Amino acid sequence: MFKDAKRRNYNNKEIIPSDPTEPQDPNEGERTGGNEADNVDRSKVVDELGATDVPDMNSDIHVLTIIGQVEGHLVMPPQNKTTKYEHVIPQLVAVEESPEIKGLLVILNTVGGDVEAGLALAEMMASMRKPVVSLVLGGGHSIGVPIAVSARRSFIASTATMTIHPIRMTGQVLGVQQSFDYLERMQDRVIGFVTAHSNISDRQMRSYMMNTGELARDIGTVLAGEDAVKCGLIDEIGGLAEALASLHAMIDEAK
Amino acid sequence: MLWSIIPTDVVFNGFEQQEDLQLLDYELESCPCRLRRLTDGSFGLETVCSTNPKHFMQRNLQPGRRIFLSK
Repeated sequence: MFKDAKRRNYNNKEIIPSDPTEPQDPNEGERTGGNEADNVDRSKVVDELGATDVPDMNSDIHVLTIIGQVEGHLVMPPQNKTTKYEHVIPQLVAVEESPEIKGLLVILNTVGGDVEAGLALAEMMASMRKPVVSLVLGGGHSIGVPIAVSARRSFIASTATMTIHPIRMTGQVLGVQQSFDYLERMQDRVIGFVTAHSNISDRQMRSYMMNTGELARDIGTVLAGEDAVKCGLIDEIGGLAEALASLHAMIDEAK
Repeated sequence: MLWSIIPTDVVFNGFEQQEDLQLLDYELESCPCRLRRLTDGSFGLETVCSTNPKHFMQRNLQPGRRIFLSK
């Protein structure tokens, strides 16, 4: 309701906010009916975070969400929900450098994305000195797999899934042996990283990737939470409480 | 190179139209940023172009944030 009102007014009159980073709602006065401070703040919170109230607290862990597509070298069209790797990488540097942050919790619900961007994030997380715990909720598909296993300890919700399937080439692809060799080398990089940072074997990973009997229009395998743990890809089944407990235990150990 | 469960034609649908994309370099809170013009005339924060990691931790400098500038 508020968003519609804002759009209507914005089209009709010019808005010059005092602070350009703060979206200014031209209906503020009319809507709040005199109790401005409280209501205006709440509407901004709803606008930005989709909730009426957000708990105010200090924590020594940093939460990073990897959602939608991992966006890499190409800016994706607006129908995609994306995580921009060029924004996550400096955040990881800040986490590693900040004396106030003791650990990193990475929450994944991703459909995959750019291979090199995903590998860059995974390598960054794997090389961090501070404890990193990952939690896969909903889905941690494709390039989400190396990101999930890059953490020191990985968790997956029992209802979450991880799809392992071959990498795809986009754009113009020449039908020559070199294209296939390049694709295979790229797959080797991903498989090499996953097997080095988890307990799954190279052979098992390749067999999941090339499985022809499971997906209707593709080859590959969908691993549900328990399957991902059984094959050694993910360390444990768990949710937020387990992931946080593990992270706090690592932080205490590091002290 | 994409490794995603979403088909590439769905992911890149409308990619060609992005040539019309209107980008604006702007400084927000002393941080150089790149904004993308949205259909309603407002702007969305596209990229933070800073070398200071602190800028990337600021809540009001996260990608997708809507920004209203004077016309």
